[in-house]
Amino acid sequence: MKYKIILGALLFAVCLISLNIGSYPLSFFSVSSDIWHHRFSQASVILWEIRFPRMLLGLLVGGSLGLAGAAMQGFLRNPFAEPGVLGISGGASLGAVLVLYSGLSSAFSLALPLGGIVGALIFAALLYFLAGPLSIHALILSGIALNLLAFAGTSLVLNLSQNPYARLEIVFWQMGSLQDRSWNHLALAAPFILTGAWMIWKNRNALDVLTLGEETAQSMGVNLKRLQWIMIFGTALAVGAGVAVCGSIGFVGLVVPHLLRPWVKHEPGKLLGISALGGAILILGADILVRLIPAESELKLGVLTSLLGAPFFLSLIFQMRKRVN
Amino acid sequence: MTTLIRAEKICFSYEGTKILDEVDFDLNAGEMVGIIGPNGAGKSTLIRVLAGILHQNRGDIHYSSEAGKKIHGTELSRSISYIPQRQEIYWPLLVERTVALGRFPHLMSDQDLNEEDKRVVESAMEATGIVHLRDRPVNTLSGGERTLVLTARALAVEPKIILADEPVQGLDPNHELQVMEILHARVKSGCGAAVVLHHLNLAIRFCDRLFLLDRGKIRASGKPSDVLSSENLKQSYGIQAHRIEVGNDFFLLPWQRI
Repeated sequence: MKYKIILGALLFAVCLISLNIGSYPLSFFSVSSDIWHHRFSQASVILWEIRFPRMLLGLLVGGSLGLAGAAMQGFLRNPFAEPGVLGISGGASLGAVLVLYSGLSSAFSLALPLGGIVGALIFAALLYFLAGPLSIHALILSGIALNLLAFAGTSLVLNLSQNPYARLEIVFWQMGSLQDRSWNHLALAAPFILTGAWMIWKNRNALDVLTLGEETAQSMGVNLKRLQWIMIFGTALAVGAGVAVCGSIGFVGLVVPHLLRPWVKHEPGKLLGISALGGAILILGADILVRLIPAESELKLGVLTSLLGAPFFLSLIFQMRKRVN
Repeated sequence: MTTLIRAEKICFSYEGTKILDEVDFDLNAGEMVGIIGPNGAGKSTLIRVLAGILHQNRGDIHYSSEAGKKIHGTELSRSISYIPQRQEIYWPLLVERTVALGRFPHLMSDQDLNEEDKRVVESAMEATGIVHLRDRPVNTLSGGERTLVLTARALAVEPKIILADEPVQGLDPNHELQVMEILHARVKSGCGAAVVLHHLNLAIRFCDRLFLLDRGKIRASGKPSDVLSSENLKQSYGIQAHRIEVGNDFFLLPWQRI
Protein backbone atom coordinates (compact mmCIF):
# COMPACT_ATOMS: atom_id res chain seq x y z
CA MET A 1 0.00 0.00 0.00
CA LYS A 2 2.79 2.36 1.01
CA TYR A 3 4.58 2.09 -2.33
CA LYS A 4 1.43 2.97 -4.22
CA ILE A 5 1.08 6.19 -2.21
CA ILE A 6 4.73 7.10 -2.77
CA LEU A 7 4.55 6.45 -6.50
CA GLY A 8 1.18 8.17 -6.80
CA ALA A 9 2.51 11.28 -5.06
CA LEU A 10 5.64 11.27 -7.23
CA LEU A 11 3.58 10.93 -10.37
CA PHE A 12 1.33 13.79 -9.36
CA ALA A 13 4.41 15.93 -8.67
CA VAL A 14 6.08 15.25 -12.03
CA CYS A 15 2.78 15.88 -13.83
CA LEU A 16 2.50 19.32 -12.22
CA ILE A 17 6.15 20.19 -12.80
CA SER A 18 5.87 19.01 -16.39
CA LEU A 19 3.03 21.47 -16.97
CA ASN A 20 5.02 24.29 -15.40
CA ILE A 21 8.29 23.87 -17.22
CA GLY A 22 9.19 25.01 -20.69
CA SER A 23 10.78 27.78 -22.72
CA TYR A 24 7.78 30.02 -22.10
CA PRO A 25 7.50 30.88 -18.40
CA LEU A 26 4.01 30.36 -17.08
CA SER A 27 2.39 29.37 -13.85
CA PHE A 28 0.03 26.47 -14.08
CA PHE A 29 -2.33 27.83 -11.44
CA SER A 30 -2.86 31.32 -12.80
CA VAL A 31 -3.23 30.01 -16.33
CA SER A 32 -5.68 27.32 -15.40
CA SER A 33 -7.93 29.97 -13.91
CA ASP A 34 -7.63 31.76 -17.28
CA ILE A 35 -8.74 28.62 -19.06
CA TRP A 36 -11.51 28.05 -16.57
CA HIS A 37 -12.87 31.53 -17.17
CA HIS A 38 -12.43 31.28 -20.94
CA ARG A 39 -9.81 34.02 -21.02
CA PHE A 40 -7.62 32.96 -23.89
CA SER A 41 -4.21 34.34 -23.15
CA GLN A 42 -1.05 33.25 -24.95
CA ALA A 43 -0.07 31.39 -21.82
CA SER A 44 -3.34 29.49 -21.70
CA VAL A 45 -2.95 28.38 -25.30
CA ILE A 46 0.56 27.13 -24.59
CA LEU A 47 -0.60 25.29 -21.52
CA TRP A 48 -3.59 23.69 -23.18
CA GLU A 49 -2.27 23.03 -26.67
CA ILE A 50 1.36 22.19 -25.90
CA ARG A 51 2.01 21.35 -22.29
CA PHE A 52 -1.09 19.24 -21.60
CA PRO A 53 -0.74 16.89 -24.58
CA ARG A 54 2.97 16.61 -23.89
CA MET A 55 2.36 15.66 -20.28
CA LEU A 56 -0.46 13.22 -21.05
CA LEU A 57 1.50 11.58 -23.83
CA GLY A 58 4.47 11.17 -21.49
CA LEU A 59 2.13 9.62 -18.96
CA LEU A 60 0.71 7.17 -21.50
CA VAL A 61 3.91 6.26 -23.28
CA GLY A 62 5.92 5.95 -20.07
CA GLY A 63 3.16 3.89 -18.48
CA SER A 64 2.89 1.56 -21.46
CA LEU A 65 6.66 1.07 -21.65
CA GLY A 66 6.83 0.22 -17.94
CA LEU A 67 3.85 -2.11 -18.20
CA ALA A 68 5.07 -3.83 -21.36
CA GLY A 69 8.53 -4.32 -19.87
CA ALA A 70 7.06 -5.90 -16.75
CA ALA A 71 4.78 -8.08 -18.87
CA MET A 72 7.64 -9.33 -21.07
CA GLN A 73 9.83 -10.05 -18.05
CA GLY A 74 7.01 -11.84 -16.27
CA PHE A 75 5.92 -13.82 -19.29
CA LEU A 76 9.44 -14.91 -20.24
CA ARG A 77 10.52 -15.15 -16.60
CA ASN A 78 13.63 -13.27 -17.51
CA PRO A 79 14.75 -9.93 -16.05
CA PHE A 80 16.48 -9.00 -19.31
CA ALA A 81 13.43 -9.15 -21.49
CA GLU A 82 12.12 -5.82 -22.73
CA PRO A 83 10.32 -4.64 -25.87
CA GLY A 84 13.47 -2.73 -26.92
CA VAL A 85 15.92 -5.55 -26.28
CA LEU A 86 13.64 -8.00 -28.08
CA GLY A 87 13.37 -5.85 -31.19
CA ILE A 88 9.66 -5.03 -30.89
CA SER A 89 10.38 -1.31 -30.49
CA GLY A 90 12.81 -1.54 -33.41
CA GLY A 91 10.06 -3.03 -35.56
CA ALA A 92 7.68 -0.27 -34.55
CA SER A 93 10.31 2.28 -35.39
CA LEU A 94 10.99 0.79 -38.81
CA GLY A 95 7.27 0.65 -39.57
CA ALA A 96 6.84 4.29 -38.66
CA VAL A 97 9.93 5.33 -40.63
CA LEU A 98 8.58 3.61 -43.73
CA VAL A 99 5.32 5.49 -43.32
CA LEU A 100 7.18 8.79 -42.95
CA TYR A 101 9.36 8.03 -45.94
CA SER A 102 6.53 6.97 -48.23
CA GLY A 103 4.59 10.10 -47.44
CA LEU A 104 1.61 8.08 -46.25
CA SER A 105 1.71 9.96 -42.95
CA SER A 106 0.80 13.23 -44.66
CA ALA A 107 -1.92 11.50 -46.67
CA PHE A 108 -3.84 10.30 -43.63
CA SER A 109 -2.92 10.84 -40.04
CA LEU A 110 -3.70 7.36 -38.74
CA ALA A 111 -0.97 5.96 -41.00
CA LEU A 112 1.82 6.78 -38.56
CA PRO A 113 0.54 4.90 -35.50
CA LEU A 114 -0.72 2.10 -37.73
CA GLY A 115 2.72 1.85 -39.34
CA GLY A 116 4.29 1.65 -35.91
CA ILE A 117 1.85 -0.98 -34.70
CA VAL A 118 2.10 -3.10 -37.84
CA GLY A 119 5.90 -2.93 -37.65
CA ALA A 120 5.78 -3.96 -34.00
CA LEU A 121 3.37 -6.81 -34.74
CA ILE A 122 5.45 -8.13 -37.62
CA PHE A 123 8.59 -8.07 -35.52
CA ALA A 124 6.77 -9.61 -32.58
CA ALA A 125 5.55 -12.41 -34.85
CA LEU A 126 9.06 -12.92 -36.23
CA LEU A 127 10.35 -13.10 -32.68
CA TYR A 128 7.69 -15.66 -31.85
CA PHE A 129 8.64 -17.89 -34.76
CA LEU A 130 12.41 -17.41 -34.49
CA ALA A 131 12.68 -18.01 -30.78
CA GLY A 132 10.23 -20.89 -30.59
CA PRO A 133 8.78 -21.88 -27.26
CA LEU A 134 10.50 -19.58 -24.84
CA SER A 135 14.13 -20.60 -24.98
CA ILE A 136 15.84 -17.63 -23.39
CA HIS A 137 19.03 -17.77 -25.44
CA ALA A 138 17.17 -18.11 -28.72
CA LEU A 139 15.00 -15.21 -27.67
CA ILE A 140 17.85 -12.82 -26.87
CA LEU A 141 19.68 -13.81 -30.07
CA SER A 142 16.50 -13.27 -32.09
CA GLY A 143 16.14 -9.89 -30.44
CA ILE A 144 19.66 -8.94 -31.52
CA ALA A 145 18.99 -10.11 -35.07
CA LEU A 146 15.69 -8.23 -35.24
CA ASN A 147 17.25 -5.05 -33.88
CA LEU A 148 19.94 -5.30 -36.55
CA LEU A 149 17.28 -5.84 -39.19
CA ALA A 150 15.33 -2.81 -38.01
CA PHE A 151 18.49 -0.73 -37.97
CA ALA A 152 19.43 -1.91 -41.48
CA GLY A 153 15.95 -1.17 -42.77
CA THR A 154 15.95 2.31 -41.30
CA SER A 155 19.42 3.02 -42.67
CA LEU A 156 18.29 1.84 -46.07
CA VAL A 157 15.36 4.24 -45.98
CA LEU A 158 17.69 7.10 -45.04
CA ASN A 159 20.09 6.03 -47.73
CA LEU A 160 17.43 6.04 -50.43
CA SER A 161 15.71 9.17 -49.27
CA GLN A 162 16.15 12.04 -51.78
CA ASN A 163 14.90 14.80 -49.59
CA PRO A 164 17.44 15.99 -46.98
CA TYR A 165 14.68 17.58 -44.95
CA ALA A 166 12.80 14.28 -44.74
CA ARG A 167 16.02 12.56 -43.69
CA LEU A 168 16.53 15.01 -40.90
CA GLU A 169 12.95 14.58 -39.82
CA ILE A 170 13.36 10.81 -39.65
CA VAL A 171 16.64 11.03 -37.74
CA PHE A 172 15.24 13.40 -35.17
CA TRP A 173 12.00 11.51 -34.87
CA GLN A 174 13.94 8.31 -34.23
CA MET A 175 15.71 9.78 -31.23
CA GLY A 176 12.46 9.85 -29.35
CA SER A 177 10.84 12.97 -27.99
CA LEU A 178 7.64 14.38 -26.54
CA GLN A 179 8.39 17.84 -27.90
CA ASP A 180 5.69 19.59 -29.95
CA ARG A 181 3.17 16.77 -29.76
CA SER A 182 -0.45 17.77 -30.10
CA TRP A 183 -3.81 16.47 -28.97
CA ASN A 184 -3.97 14.74 -32.35
CA HIS A 185 -0.93 12.64 -31.54
CA LEU A 186 -2.47 11.76 -28.23
CA ALA A 187 -5.79 10.83 -29.80
CA LEU A 188 -4.01 8.66 -32.37
CA ALA A 189 -1.93 6.71 -29.89
CA ALA A 190 -4.18 6.50 -26.84
CA PRO A 191 -6.76 3.96 -28.06
CA PHE A 192 -4.08 1.49 -29.14
CA ILE A 193 -1.96 1.95 -26.04
CA LEU A 194 -4.93 1.54 -23.75
CA THR A 195 -6.18 -1.55 -25.62
CA GLY A 196 -2.77 -3.21 -25.45
CA ALA A 197 -2.34 -2.34 -21.79
CA TRP A 198 -5.81 -3.63 -21.00
CA MET A 199 -5.10 -6.96 -22.74
CA ILE A 200 -1.98 -7.43 -20.64
CA TRP A 201 -3.57 -6.23 -17.42
CA LYS A 202 -6.51 -8.63 -17.71
CA ASN A 203 -4.12 -11.58 -17.68
CA ARG A 204 -1.97 -10.61 -14.74
CA ASN A 205 -2.86 -13.66 -12.64
CA ALA A 206 -1.64 -15.96 -15.38
CA LEU A 207 1.76 -14.23 -15.22
CA ASP A 208 1.87 -15.02 -11.50
CA VAL A 209 1.09 -18.68 -12.12
CA LEU A 210 3.85 -18.89 -14.75
CA THR A 211 6.30 -18.44 -11.87
CA LEU A 212 5.75 -22.17 -11.29
CA GLY A 213 6.72 -23.02 -14.86
CA GLU A 214 4.72 -23.77 -17.96
CA GLU A 215 3.57 -27.28 -17.11
CA THR A 216 2.14 -26.38 -13.73
CA ALA A 217 0.51 -23.29 -15.21
CA GLN A 218 -1.04 -25.47 -17.90
CA SER A 219 -2.33 -27.94 -15.33
CA MET A 220 -4.03 -25.03 -13.58
CA GLY A 221 -5.90 -24.04 -16.72
CA VAL A 222 -3.59 -21.46 -18.31
CA ASN A 223 -3.81 -21.64 -22.10
CA LEU A 224 -0.17 -20.97 -22.96
CA LYS A 225 -0.67 -20.38 -26.67
CA ARG A 226 -3.42 -17.87 -26.00
CA LEU A 227 -1.40 -16.15 -23.30
CA GLN A 228 1.62 -15.88 -25.57
CA TRP A 229 -0.43 -14.23 -28.29
CA ILE A 230 -2.08 -11.87 -25.84
CA MET A 231 1.25 -10.79 -24.39
CA ILE A 232 2.87 -10.32 -27.80
CA PHE A 233 -0.12 -8.54 -29.35
CA GLY A 234 -0.73 -6.44 -26.26
CA THR A 235 2.91 -5.37 -26.15
CA ALA A 236 3.00 -4.67 -29.86
CA LEU A 237 -0.13 -2.49 -29.62
CA ALA A 238 0.99 -0.58 -26.55
CA VAL A 239 4.62 -0.10 -27.55
CA GLY A 240 4.04 0.24 -31.28
CA ALA A 241 1.58 3.10 -30.89
CA GLY A 242 3.85 4.88 -28.41
CA VAL A 243 6.92 4.55 -30.62
CA ALA A 244 4.93 5.71 -33.63
CA VAL A 245 4.10 9.08 -32.11
CA CYS A 246 7.14 9.63 -29.86
CA GLY A 247 9.97 7.73 -31.54
CA SER A 248 11.95 5.10 -29.73
CA ILE A 249 12.57 5.65 -26.07
CA GLY A 250 14.86 2.92 -24.85
CA PHE A 251 15.51 1.13 -21.59
CA VAL A 252 12.45 2.34 -19.66
CA GLY A 253 10.85 -1.09 -19.95
CA LEU A 254 14.01 -2.72 -18.69
CA VAL A 255 14.96 -0.41 -15.85
CA VAL A 256 11.60 0.28 -14.24
CA PRO A 257 10.37 -3.28 -13.58
CA HIS A 258 13.83 -4.12 -12.32
CA LEU A 259 13.93 -1.35 -9.78
CA LEU A 260 10.39 -1.90 -8.57
CA ARG A 261 10.28 -5.69 -8.44
CA PRO A 262 11.46 -5.97 -4.81
CA TRP A 263 8.73 -3.50 -3.80
CA VAL A 264 6.03 -6.02 -4.75
CA LYS A 265 7.94 -9.03 -3.41
CA HIS A 266 8.74 -10.16 -6.97
CA GLU A 267 5.12 -10.85 -7.91
CA PRO A 268 4.84 -10.49 -11.71
CA GLY A 269 1.14 -9.58 -11.64
CA LYS A 270 1.45 -6.82 -9.08
CA LEU A 271 4.54 -5.54 -10.85
CA LEU A 272 2.47 -4.56 -13.90
CA GLY A 273 0.60 -1.75 -12.18
CA ILE A 274 3.49 -0.16 -10.36
CA SER A 275 5.77 -0.51 -13.38
CA ALA A 276 3.22 1.50 -15.34
CA LEU A 277 3.34 4.17 -12.62
CA GLY A 278 7.14 4.02 -12.49
CA GLY A 279 7.49 4.21 -16.28
CA ALA A 280 5.29 7.29 -16.40
CA ILE A 281 7.30 8.93 -13.61
CA LEU A 282 10.60 8.14 -15.31
CA ILE A 283 9.49 9.47 -18.71
CA LEU A 284 7.93 12.61 -17.28
CA GLY A 285 10.99 13.16 -15.08
CA ALA A 286 13.34 12.71 -18.02
CA ASP A 287 11.16 14.98 -20.12
CA ILE A 288 11.44 17.66 -17.43
CA LEU A 289 15.20 17.15 -17.41
CA VAL A 290 15.59 17.62 -21.17
CA ARG A 291 13.80 20.95 -20.84
CA LEU A 292 16.03 22.06 -17.97
CA ILE A 293 19.38 21.04 -19.45
CA PRO A 294 20.65 24.09 -21.33
CA ALA A 295 21.53 23.08 -24.88
CA GLU A 296 21.56 24.63 -28.32
CA SER A 297 18.65 22.44 -29.36
CA GLU A 298 16.60 20.57 -26.78
CA LEU A 299 18.15 17.23 -25.80
CA LYS A 300 16.04 14.37 -27.13
CA LEU A 301 14.19 12.28 -24.57
CA GLY A 302 15.24 8.95 -26.08
CA VAL A 303 18.86 10.05 -26.01
CA LEU A 304 18.61 10.87 -22.33
CA THR A 305 16.89 7.60 -21.34
CA SER A 306 19.48 5.62 -23.28
CA LEU A 307 22.27 7.56 -21.61
CA LEU A 308 20.77 6.64 -18.25
CA GLY A 309 19.78 3.12 -19.26
CA ALA A 310 23.05 1.84 -20.70
CA PRO A 311 25.04 2.14 -17.44
CA PHE A 312 22.12 0.52 -15.66
CA PHE A 313 22.23 -2.45 -18.01
CA LEU A 314 25.97 -2.72 -17.37
CA SER A 315 25.44 -2.65 -13.61
CA LEU A 316 22.94 -5.53 -14.00
CA ILE A 317 25.63 -7.56 -15.72
CA PHE A 318 28.07 -6.79 -12.93
CA GLN A 319 25.51 -7.83 -10.33
CA MET A 320 24.98 -11.09 -12.18
CA ARG A 321 28.71 -11.74 -12.33
CA LYS A 322 28.96 -11.20 -8.61
CA ARG A 323 26.17 -13.69 -8.01
CA VAL A 324 27.84 -16.27 -10.24
CA ASN A 325 31.16 -15.93 -8.45
CA MET B 1 -16.20 -46.45 -4.87
CA THR B 2 -16.23 -43.68 -7.49
CA THR B 3 -13.83 -43.87 -10.38
CA LEU B 4 -12.21 -40.44 -10.84
CA ILE B 5 -10.03 -41.25 -13.84
CA ARG B 6 -10.54 -43.97 -16.39
CA ALA B 7 -7.96 -44.08 -19.18
CA GLU B 8 -8.19 -46.66 -21.91
CA LYS B 9 -5.55 -47.73 -24.40
CA ILE B 10 -3.46 -44.57 -24.13
CA CYS B 11 -0.77 -44.27 -26.81
CA PHE B 12 1.76 -41.48 -26.92
CA SER B 13 4.67 -41.02 -29.31
CA TYR B 14 7.33 -38.36 -29.33
CA GLU B 15 9.27 -37.76 -32.53
CA GLY B 16 8.44 -41.22 -33.81
CA THR B 17 9.36 -43.05 -30.60
CA LYS B 18 6.52 -44.83 -28.88
CA ILE B 19 6.57 -43.86 -25.21
CA LEU B 20 3.18 -45.13 -24.08
CA ASP B 21 1.68 -48.19 -25.74
CA GLU B 22 -1.98 -48.99 -25.02
CA VAL B 23 -1.83 -48.09 -21.35
CA ASP B 24 -4.96 -48.68 -19.27
CA PHE B 25 -5.17 -46.75 -16.04
CA ASP B 26 -7.81 -46.00 -13.45
CA LEU B 27 -7.94 -44.08 -10.20
CA ASN B 28 -10.67 -44.28 -7.58
CA ALA B 29 -11.68 -41.84 -4.86
CA GLY B 30 -10.04 -42.65 -1.55
CA GLU B 31 -7.06 -44.52 -2.92
CA MET B 32 -3.45 -43.81 -3.63
CA VAL B 33 -1.96 -45.59 -6.58
CA GLY B 34 1.72 -45.75 -7.34
CA ILE B 35 3.16 -45.60 -10.84
CA ILE B 36 6.46 -47.44 -10.76
CA GLY B 37 8.92 -48.74 -13.28
CA PRO B 38 12.51 -48.36 -14.45
CA ASN B 39 13.93 -45.10 -15.85
CA GLY B 40 12.52 -44.32 -19.26
CA ALA B 41 9.48 -46.57 -18.82
CA GLY B 42 7.11 -43.65 -19.49
CA LYS B 43 5.98 -42.86 -15.93
CA SER B 44 6.34 -39.09 -16.19
CA THR B 45 4.77 -39.11 -19.64
CA LEU B 46 1.78 -41.04 -18.32
CA ILE B 47 1.24 -38.62 -15.45
CA ARG B 48 1.56 -35.62 -17.78
CA VAL B 49 -0.96 -37.13 -20.16
CA LEU B 50 -3.30 -37.70 -17.23
CA ALA B 51 -2.76 -34.07 -16.13
CA GLY B 52 -3.70 -32.85 -19.61
CA ILE B 53 -0.28 -31.32 -20.28
CA LEU B 54 0.51 -33.77 -23.07
CA HIS B 55 -2.13 -35.12 -25.39
CA GLN B 56 -2.31 -38.80 -26.18
CA ASN B 57 -2.18 -39.82 -29.84
CA ARG B 58 -4.78 -42.48 -29.24
CA GLY B 59 -7.04 -43.65 -26.44
CA ASP B 60 -9.57 -41.92 -24.20
CA ILE B 61 -9.41 -40.46 -20.74
CA HIS B 62 -12.59 -39.83 -18.77
CA TYR B 63 -12.63 -37.74 -15.62
CA SER B 64 -15.53 -37.85 -13.17
CA SER B 65 -16.47 -35.99 -10.04
CA GLU B 66 -17.14 -37.85 -6.80
CA ALA B 67 -20.81 -37.86 -7.72
CA GLY B 68 -19.92 -39.68 -10.94
CA LYS B 69 -20.56 -36.65 -13.18
CA LYS B 70 -18.21 -36.20 -16.15
CA ILE B 71 -15.91 -33.20 -15.82
CA HIS B 72 -13.73 -31.25 -18.27
CA GLY B 73 -12.41 -27.78 -19.06
CA THR B 74 -12.27 -25.26 -16.23
CA GLU B 75 -13.93 -27.65 -13.82
CA LEU B 76 -11.20 -30.18 -14.54
CA SER B 77 -8.40 -27.70 -13.82
CA ARG B 78 -10.14 -26.99 -10.50
CA SER B 79 -10.26 -30.70 -9.70
CA ILE B 80 -6.72 -31.75 -10.61
CA SER B 81 -3.49 -30.82 -8.94
CA TYR B 82 -0.30 -31.72 -10.72
CA ILE B 83 3.03 -31.73 -8.89
CA PRO B 84 5.86 -31.91 -11.43
CA GLN B 85 9.24 -33.44 -10.92
CA ARG B 86 11.78 -30.79 -9.87
CA GLN B 87 9.43 -27.84 -9.99
CA GLU B 88 11.11 -24.54 -10.71
CA ILE B 89 10.11 -21.30 -9.03
CA TYR B 90 11.29 -18.50 -11.27
CA TRP B 91 10.87 -15.51 -8.96
CA PRO B 92 11.64 -15.43 -5.23
CA LEU B 93 8.00 -15.07 -4.16
CA LEU B 94 7.01 -15.23 -0.51
CA VAL B 95 5.88 -18.64 0.71
CA GLU B 96 2.31 -17.52 1.37
CA ARG B 97 1.94 -16.03 -2.13
CA THR B 98 3.44 -19.16 -3.70
CA VAL B 99 0.85 -21.32 -1.95
CA ALA B 100 -1.88 -18.86 -2.99
CA LEU B 101 -1.04 -19.49 -6.67
CA GLY B 102 -2.95 -22.73 -6.20
CA ARG B 103 -6.18 -20.71 -6.11
CA PHE B 104 -5.69 -19.58 -9.71
CA PRO B 105 -8.08 -22.11 -11.29
CA HIS B 106 -10.85 -20.77 -9.05
CA LEU B 107 -10.27 -17.12 -9.96
CA MET B 108 -10.97 -15.19 -13.09
CA SER B 109 -7.66 -14.19 -14.62
CA ASP B 110 -7.84 -10.71 -13.08
CA GLN B 111 -9.55 -11.38 -9.73
CA ASP B 112 -7.96 -11.11 -6.32
CA LEU B 113 -8.28 -13.68 -3.54
CA ASN B 114 -11.46 -13.49 -1.46
CA GLU B 115 -11.89 -14.53 2.18
CA GLU B 116 -12.69 -18.12 1.26
CA ASP B 117 -9.56 -18.36 -0.89
CA LYS B 118 -7.45 -17.00 1.95
CA ARG B 119 -8.94 -19.54 4.34
CA VAL B 120 -8.05 -22.39 1.95
CA VAL B 121 -4.48 -21.08 1.57
CA GLU B 122 -4.18 -20.90 5.35
CA SER B 123 -5.38 -24.46 5.85
CA ALA B 124 -3.05 -25.74 3.11
CA MET B 125 -0.13 -24.15 4.96
CA GLU B 126 -1.33 -25.66 8.24
CA ALA B 127 -1.69 -29.13 6.69
CA THR B 128 1.91 -29.00 5.50
CA GLY B 129 3.29 -27.35 8.62
CA ILE B 130 4.74 -24.30 6.88
CA VAL B 131 2.78 -21.52 8.58
CA HIS B 132 5.97 -20.26 10.25
CA LEU B 133 7.62 -19.88 6.83
CA ARG B 134 4.86 -17.68 5.42
CA ASP B 135 6.94 -14.52 4.99
CA ARG B 136 10.10 -16.18 3.74
CA PRO B 137 11.12 -15.79 0.09
CA VAL B 138 11.11 -19.26 -1.50
CA ASN B 139 14.72 -18.99 -2.65
CA THR B 140 15.87 -19.02 0.98
CA LEU B 141 14.24 -22.38 1.79
CA SER B 142 15.88 -25.79 2.15
CA GLY B 143 14.97 -28.54 -0.31
CA GLY B 144 12.56 -30.11 2.17
CA GLU B 145 10.82 -26.84 3.00
CA ARG B 146 10.53 -26.03 -0.68
CA THR B 147 8.85 -29.36 -1.42
CA LEU B 148 6.40 -28.72 1.43
CA VAL B 149 5.58 -25.29 -0.02
CA LEU B 150 4.93 -26.77 -3.45
CA THR B 151 2.83 -29.51 -1.88
CA ALA B 152 0.82 -26.85 -0.07
CA ARG B 153 0.39 -25.04 -3.40
CA ALA B 154 -1.05 -28.25 -4.84
CA LEU B 155 -3.41 -28.68 -1.86
CA ALA B 156 -4.60 -25.07 -2.19
CA VAL B 157 -6.32 -26.05 -5.44
CA GLU B 158 -8.59 -28.22 -3.25
CA PRO B 159 -8.23 -30.97 -5.81
CA LYS B 160 -10.19 -34.18 -6.09
CA ILE B 161 -7.31 -35.73 -8.01
CA ILE B 162 -3.64 -35.34 -7.13
CA LEU B 163 -1.06 -36.31 -9.76
CA ALA B 164 2.47 -36.19 -8.37
CA ASP B 165 5.67 -36.94 -10.28
CA GLU B 166 8.27 -38.13 -7.78
CA PRO B 167 7.19 -35.81 -4.98
CA VAL B 168 9.83 -37.13 -2.57
CA GLN B 169 12.84 -36.91 -4.86
CA GLY B 170 15.93 -35.72 -3.03
CA LEU B 171 14.33 -35.59 0.41
CA ASP B 172 15.61 -37.00 3.69
CA PRO B 173 13.61 -39.89 5.23
CA ASN B 174 11.73 -37.60 7.57
CA HIS B 175 10.56 -35.29 4.78
CA GLU B 176 9.85 -38.29 2.55
CA LEU B 177 7.45 -39.63 5.14
CA GLN B 178 5.99 -36.20 5.84
CA VAL B 179 5.14 -35.52 2.18
CA MET B 180 3.69 -39.00 1.71
CA GLU B 181 1.65 -38.63 4.92
CA ILE B 182 0.27 -35.27 3.77
CA LEU B 183 -0.84 -36.78 0.44
CA HIS B 184 -2.17 -39.84 2.24
CA ALA B 185 -4.26 -37.69 4.58
CA ARG B 186 -5.90 -36.06 1.55
CA VAL B 187 -6.63 -39.48 0.11
CA LYS B 188 -8.29 -40.55 3.36
CA SER B 189 -10.56 -37.52 3.13
CA GLY B 190 -11.79 -38.62 -0.29
CA CYS B 191 -9.24 -37.57 -2.93
CA GLY B 192 -7.62 -39.90 -5.37
CA ALA B 193 -3.85 -39.67 -5.82
CA ALA B 194 -1.55 -41.10 -8.46
CA VAL B 195 2.10 -40.86 -7.50
CA VAL B 196 5.17 -41.69 -9.55
CA LEU B 197 7.66 -43.32 -7.19
CA HIS B 198 11.14 -44.73 -7.56
CA HIS B 199 11.25 -45.70 -3.92
CA LEU B 200 9.59 -49.14 -3.91
CA ASN B 201 9.30 -49.35 -0.14
CA LEU B 202 7.41 -46.06 0.02
CA ALA B 203 5.13 -47.46 -2.67
CA ILE B 204 4.53 -50.57 -0.56
CA ARG B 205 4.00 -48.50 2.57
CA PHE B 206 1.49 -45.97 1.18
CA CYS B 207 -0.10 -47.21 -2.05
CA ASP B 208 -3.28 -49.23 -2.31
CA ARG B 209 -2.49 -50.30 -5.85
CA LEU B 210 0.52 -50.14 -8.15
CA PHE B 211 0.93 -49.81 -11.90
CA LEU B 212 4.23 -51.24 -13.09
CA LEU B 213 5.25 -49.59 -16.36
CA ASP B 214 7.92 -51.13 -18.52
CA ARG B 215 8.94 -49.75 -21.92
CA GLY B 216 5.64 -47.97 -22.32
CA LYS B 217 3.42 -50.91 -21.42
CA ILE B 218 1.72 -51.86 -18.19
CA ARG B 219 3.49 -55.03 -17.09
CA ALA B 220 1.38 -55.53 -13.98
CA SER B 221 -1.17 -53.73 -11.87
CA GLY B 222 -2.91 -54.44 -8.61
CA LYS B 223 -1.92 -54.94 -4.99
CA PRO B 224 1.73 -54.11 -4.18
CA SER B 225 2.48 -57.64 -2.97
CA ASP B 226 1.34 -59.08 -6.32
CA VAL B 227 2.91 -56.46 -8.57
CA LEU B 228 6.27 -56.58 -6.86
CA SER B 229 6.78 -60.31 -7.41
CA SER B 230 10.31 -61.49 -7.95
CA GLU B 231 9.43 -62.35 -11.57
CA ASN B 232 8.17 -58.81 -12.28
CA LEU B 233 11.20 -57.22 -10.60
CA LYS B 234 13.47 -59.41 -12.68
CA GLN B 235 11.67 -58.73 -15.97
CA SER B 236 11.23 -54.99 -15.65
CA TYR B 237 14.05 -53.72 -13.42
CA GLY B 238 16.47 -56.58 -14.04
CA ILE B 239 17.13 -57.00 -10.34
CA GLN B 240 16.82 -59.53 -7.65
CA ALA B 241 15.57 -58.27 -4.27
CA HIS B 242 15.29 -59.73 -0.79
CA ARG B 243 11.70 -59.72 0.36
CA ILE B 244 11.48 -59.16 4.08
CA GLU B 245 8.25 -59.79 5.95
CA VAL B 246 7.50 -57.61 8.97
CA GLY B 247 4.19 -58.58 10.61
CA ASN B 248 1.57 -58.16 7.88
CA ASP B 249 3.84 -55.86 5.90
CA PHE B 250 6.84 -56.59 3.74
CA PHE B 251 9.62 -54.58 2.23
CA LEU B 252 12.20 -55.07 -0.48
CA LEU B 253 15.93 -54.82 -0.36
CA PRO B 254 17.28 -54.66 -3.92
CA TRP B 255 20.23 -57.04 -3.77
CA GLN B 256 21.81 -57.66 -7.14
CA ARG B 257 21.40 -57.02 -10.83
CA ILE B 258 20.57 -59.95 -13.00
